Amino acid sequence: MSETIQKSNPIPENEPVYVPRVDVRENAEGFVVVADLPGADEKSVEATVQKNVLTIEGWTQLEKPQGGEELGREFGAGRFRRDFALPDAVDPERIQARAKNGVLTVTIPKKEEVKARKIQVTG
Amino acid sequence: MFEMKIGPRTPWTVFDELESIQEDVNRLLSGEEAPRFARRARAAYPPLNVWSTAEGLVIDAEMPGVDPQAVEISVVGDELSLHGKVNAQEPAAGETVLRRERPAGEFERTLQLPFRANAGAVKATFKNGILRISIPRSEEEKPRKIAIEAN
Repeated sequence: MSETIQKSNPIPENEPVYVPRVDVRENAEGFVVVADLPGADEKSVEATVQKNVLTIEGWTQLEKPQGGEELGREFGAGRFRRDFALPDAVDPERIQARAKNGVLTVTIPKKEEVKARKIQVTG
Repeated sequence: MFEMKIGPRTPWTVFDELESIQEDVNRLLSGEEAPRFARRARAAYPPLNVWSTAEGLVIDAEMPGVDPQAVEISVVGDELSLHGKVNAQEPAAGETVLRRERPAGEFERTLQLPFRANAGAVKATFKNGILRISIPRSEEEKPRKIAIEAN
């Protein structure tokens, strides 16, 4: 992923933007950010890294059934955005993002030099 | 006419409250009078959108990341039930959970339909984290045109 991805769909001012729910996990290799983006696909999601800030943004969409009359609504769709401050110890060049089943998974590897190493103790 | 029965839900987390506060603040800052989206129902999982169509009902369930194979949909008479597990996997060994906002665990939700369904003709599709269930009316409940006999 390059450091600057052209924003093809900048968020217009005044448009409400919702904050997606995320899980964040850390393991020896790095961090994993998992975001719920129901109604979004890989074309409507963008992940950007700039100055140690990871931004995920885009839009989700609802498909109205043909000839359908709305009876009840408990969820909506629209613009979303969320920023994450990255620790210094990660490698922004190797961040990967994947969208599947309405979930975006961003894998953020740690720099090689900060990974914990097991040191052999000799007697 | 449309009554939602609320089943067991996923555990409430402090993030639900924080997110709701955040939504309120965003709304205040944006100067909007009314929420643009209906407030997410915290009480039940999955959240549902419901439409009436010529054939019956179309119901969308918001379930990002769910394995469609792990969702059981049953329609009996005038009742629809959704049952299954979402994000149920435990963190792997050596993994630390830093933040957990996404709903996880077992869910069950039952919906009273405004008609008896043709259970054999119910269809379900899953796309981008949204489960769409189409429920046609049973044949007996379809409106019929009654011919008036001339005497």
